[in-house]
Amino acid sequence: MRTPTTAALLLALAASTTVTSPAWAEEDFGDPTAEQLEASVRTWNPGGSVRVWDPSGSVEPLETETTQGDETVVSLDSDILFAFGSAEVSPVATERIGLLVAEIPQGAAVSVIGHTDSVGDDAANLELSRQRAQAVAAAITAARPDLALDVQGRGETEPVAPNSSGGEDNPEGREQNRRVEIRYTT
Amino acid sequence: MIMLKNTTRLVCILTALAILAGCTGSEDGDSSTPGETQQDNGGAGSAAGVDEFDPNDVFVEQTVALAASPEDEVTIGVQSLQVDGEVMQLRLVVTPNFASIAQDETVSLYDILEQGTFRPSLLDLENLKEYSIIRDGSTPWGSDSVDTEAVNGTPMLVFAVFAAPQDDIDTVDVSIREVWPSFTGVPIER
Repeated sequence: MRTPTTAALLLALAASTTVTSPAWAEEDFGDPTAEQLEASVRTWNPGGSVRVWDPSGSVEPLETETTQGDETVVSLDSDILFAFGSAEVSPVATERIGLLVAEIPQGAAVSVIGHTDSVGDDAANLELSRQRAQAVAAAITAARPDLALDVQGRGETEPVAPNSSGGEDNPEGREQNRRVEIRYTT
Repeated sequence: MIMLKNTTRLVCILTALAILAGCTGSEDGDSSTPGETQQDNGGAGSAAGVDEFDPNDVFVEQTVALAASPEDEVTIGVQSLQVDGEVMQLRLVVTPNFASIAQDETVSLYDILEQGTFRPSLLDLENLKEYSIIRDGSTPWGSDSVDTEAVNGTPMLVFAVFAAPQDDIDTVDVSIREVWPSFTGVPIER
């Protein structure tokens, strides 16, 4: 508890305290030089410390269409089209595939080619790619029975991106390789 | 010239002693406790808070075995898929149960993914779209595979950020690895 007696003692102690000078005197220090002042201030630059995330490009559609000469290639993303290890096409995807082939000229020759990544057995991948190509072909035929289809499965033999990079797995590349291509000439 | 006057020095000492006397002697002053003061740090009306993590708060989970060491299992639970403006955050509770190592060893997300990167995806099968984790160059907006780790048998929070839905959808399928079964019909919270 603070009492008048305690406060008086403390003030008396303060009054009787002898202030001793340090070994150095303030007068020993001259005015700082411009260099000293400059060196004593660190300037932080906030530029570049904020990462701005851009969501664009992170949503992929089912199909990607490219043209190679007079050939049109529609590449279907197998990850969207099929469940893992499956070759079953949903009704929604069947309808979309029908729309994708609506503009192909009457009676045209169309190649439907299935591809996989390199994970798993070669023979199993070849068979899965063939089944998936057949499933897409069935969806095409449902919408366009006039088209002449050549259906093939090529397994992991024709990647469009590296399945591995520097000895490490390359999941982005493997994803690009899991696809079914619809090729036709206009 | 920079200097302190002796009178200034004396005032400083007296002030310090007076403060010392007050600090050591008061019993009848402010009765608030340090704990109460800290709780008020946010101030009245502040929206600040703590992002609490309840590992039991998941609405669907699955346990899978690693392909290379089937005795090692991991349980993955979906805690939330929440839209916030232009983005959508997925929160997972991941619990490694590895029989091949001691119970006090740590397991990283990299180990759980069998030396793979964490790249979950969301599948909108109504509109046939795949949402990948948002990236800045090679850096994903989500948990780091190597740095995210937990003691064997202990849950850890794992997150990933995606673009907000482009279509009017209520659910998506969540794929953690293509070789594991997807979580189907995961509700999107808005």
